[in-house]
Amino acid sequence: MKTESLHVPGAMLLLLAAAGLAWYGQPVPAEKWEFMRSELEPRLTERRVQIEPAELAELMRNDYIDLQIIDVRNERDWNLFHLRGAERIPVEGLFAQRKRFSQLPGNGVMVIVSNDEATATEAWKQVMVTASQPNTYILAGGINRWLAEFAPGHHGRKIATEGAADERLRYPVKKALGSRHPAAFPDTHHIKTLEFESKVKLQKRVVMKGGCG
Amino acid sequence: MAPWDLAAELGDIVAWAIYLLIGFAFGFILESAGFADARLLAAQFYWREIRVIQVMFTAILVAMVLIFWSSALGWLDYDDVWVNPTYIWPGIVGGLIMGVGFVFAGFCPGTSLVGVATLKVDAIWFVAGAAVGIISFGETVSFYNDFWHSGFLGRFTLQDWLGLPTGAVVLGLVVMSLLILWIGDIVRRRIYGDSDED
Repeated sequence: MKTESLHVPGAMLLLLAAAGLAWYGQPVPAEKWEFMRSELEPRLTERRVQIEPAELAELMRNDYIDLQIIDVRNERDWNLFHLRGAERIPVEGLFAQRKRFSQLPGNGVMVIVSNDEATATEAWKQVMVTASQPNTYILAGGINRWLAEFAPGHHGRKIATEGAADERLRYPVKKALGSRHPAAFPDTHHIKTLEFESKVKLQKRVVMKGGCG
Repeated sequence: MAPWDLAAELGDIVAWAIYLLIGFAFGFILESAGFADARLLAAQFYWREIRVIQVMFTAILVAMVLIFWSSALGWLDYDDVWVNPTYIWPGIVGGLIMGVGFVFAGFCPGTSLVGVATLKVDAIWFVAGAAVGIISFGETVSFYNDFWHSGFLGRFTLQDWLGLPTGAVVLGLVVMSLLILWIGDIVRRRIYGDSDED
């Protein structure tokens, strides 16, 4: 059979497939999450990606790790208190950063923080489906738990751990110190007294390179 | 969900066997299409032959449509597919160098290996020259390292550049490519007359 007789039907098929694709569209993050749910959800339910405040505090002092702390809280809470070296990106701004997140270096670790865990968890889902960055973690208990561990004052500690996980900053931060608050970068002595199960494991993103030559 | 780390999922031996099979199929198809013949490859640039353009464009379009349909149906995570990062200025200069070399020699790196497989002497010399070029580049790149890393745009796709939905870009490329192939064939026949390419 002469192949030229296949040119027109082949072209029509290709055109039809492309037109169908233009109509059908690509999955949005919520749809992608449904596709990837069976693979990613166990990481959340088995708490494999929620790291203790003590582990994050250690990472902050680890010169071999390129640590990126992404704070997804509102501006008010950010101004009151945030971790040293953190960067504030609201959840709706994460999609625009997906390329940067996907290109973390091999020793890069990203930790997402919110006041509790709910917002950070939603942000983690979005980062995983849009950037596929395996070295992404969530601060267990959020800033409220962090302050309960590291902020001075027993009274504040009690308030920070009480109440529903409603994403309110419950610790009584009196002044908007941001990262100048003493708890923003806890001292080594305090970290050493805390026990935790280390969960951060640097995972290399598998890169299948190729070229047509 | 693809892409999969075949070595991690299936073990090294099976993964290498799959890579070998894909490579074999690729070389087989290139050789079957006549891409081991430098005269045919060089003729593309004079528009005497458009077989390379027809085959490569068709392959690219079919792969593109399959990739994005797989992504749309949740079989493939497109964000996890490796796209060579764009370094715009060295890319342009490198493309020019490669294009000139392609016209002079009648081979590109992939087709030269196909030619070597069939013991074509010009292909063997081309591969030798490419090896010398690669080694020379490796030994001298430190002198122009800044240029080599200039114009970095990261993972930069057409849809990023145009700011259009992926489906629109795919459809536009398919329409544009089919038009180029159709018009190109008409022009070729007008200039050189009908010829039996098979």
